[in-house]
Amino acid sequence: MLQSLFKRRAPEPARVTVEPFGWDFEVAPGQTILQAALAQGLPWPSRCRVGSCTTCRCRLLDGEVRSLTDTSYVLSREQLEQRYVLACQSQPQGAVKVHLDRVKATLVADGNGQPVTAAD
Amino acid sequence: MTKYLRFLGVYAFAVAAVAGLLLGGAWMWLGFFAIYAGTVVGDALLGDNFDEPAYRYPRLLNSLLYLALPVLALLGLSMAWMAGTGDLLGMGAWAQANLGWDLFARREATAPWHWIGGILSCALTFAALGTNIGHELTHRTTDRAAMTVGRWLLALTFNADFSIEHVYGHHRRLATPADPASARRGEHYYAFLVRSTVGQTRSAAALERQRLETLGHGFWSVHNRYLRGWLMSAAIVAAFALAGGVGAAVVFVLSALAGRTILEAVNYFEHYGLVREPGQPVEPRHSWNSNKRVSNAVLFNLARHSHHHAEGDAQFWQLHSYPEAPTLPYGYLTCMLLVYVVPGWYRDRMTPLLLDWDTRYANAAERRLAASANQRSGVPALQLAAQGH
Repeated sequence: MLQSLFKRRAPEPARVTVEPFGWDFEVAPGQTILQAALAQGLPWPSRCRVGSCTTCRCRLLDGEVRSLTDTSYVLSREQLEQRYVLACQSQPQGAVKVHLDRVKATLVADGNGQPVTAAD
Repeated sequence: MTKYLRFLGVYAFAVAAVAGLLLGGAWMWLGFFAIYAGTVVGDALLGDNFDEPAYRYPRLLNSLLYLALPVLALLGLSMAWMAGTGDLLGMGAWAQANLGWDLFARREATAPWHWIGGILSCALTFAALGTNIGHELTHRTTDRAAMTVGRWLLALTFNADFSIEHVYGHHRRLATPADPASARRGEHYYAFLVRSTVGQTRSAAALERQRLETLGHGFWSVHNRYLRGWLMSAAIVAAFALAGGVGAAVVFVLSALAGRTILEAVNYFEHYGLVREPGQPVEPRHSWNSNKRVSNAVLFNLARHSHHHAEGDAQFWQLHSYPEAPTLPYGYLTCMLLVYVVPGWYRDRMTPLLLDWDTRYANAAERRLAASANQRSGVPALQLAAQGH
């Protein structure tokens, strides 16, 4: 028991699931959800990446995140009540499920390698 | 080993400032001259350091930040003792008995004008240990201990609200007209000093007001971090008054105000004249970077500013050098000195660097913003370039 108190658990990557797209990826310790998503090539909308423009916001459905900045400075009360978080400021604490309202308006490849236009 | 030890350099300067105060008389200038001579000459002789070493003991580096607390306490006690009357905490008797150091005679030999040097030495130490380390700590917005210590360090220069404005204002509005802490093209340091000081505290109040509204609290509330910040500074003034009377309080207030202008000098040259399209990502090109060895050692890598703004939550020991980023002509303390003493000359010194930035770093949208900033700058060489655009 003492050992568990003093020994720091080795950080493990956290699994993030994204509704309604069914995306599923790992976020390394110290990484934000947005960094991991962009590294996967996912069309996650983002602009400033410093927690200001709120373009990358998503709704937390399950699990906990650690936010690098206090989002009460930028999100509205309604958004906070609905558990919106900023992907560029969020490090998942264990498995997390989020809902992303929209994806980046860009050409993405479908299963056959054909480009399709994603909704903004 | 030196990769750790170099961050102790700032404490050597702080000890010089404390010793200078306690030696009294003309020695009060010791801290001021030690810091400037050490950093200006050091940067000129030792040049750049692009190393990005891996650190096995980040906690050791972390504790170097918190070392500021006892050192500043020692400085504060020395200020209060030398500016006060009587024998605060028996320090005078102790020094006489144990060190043979006659503080009473030193204080007697100190005239009011000697305090100019004393106050400048204290201001530099407040800026280096208070503002700079307070800045590093208050970026750790989810770490309560770091936030508390950091805000008290910033309160030493009447600037605890920096913990709000800097993270939620400056980092987001960087290099856009909405940011009071980004110096505009052609702007003179002393004009910037007033605009930035007033603009930042107003911005902090507005940001805090909005946050409190979001959370359903009123502005006049215990949750108000802006008001609490001012109370912290008031408490420090009161502590000085209690410890050393009116004289000590006056010395502190003047040191705090002078220290605050140092922050603005640094704000001034860190982003002078750079432009960014609002809402677009903050990139390394939106800060003036410096890899000068001594500046970075003394300021816990603050001069590696391009990476700091591109990734605000990186710890000081993780900052990359970015040698390809737009680079300041001199080290931090040298730029600071120039900005204070020859502000117009420094502004003109930056003109060719801005024109180079427009050509080599700016994207198409930024080039348009830069051209209109050049037109409004009042600097002939910049206006000429804008006409050619």
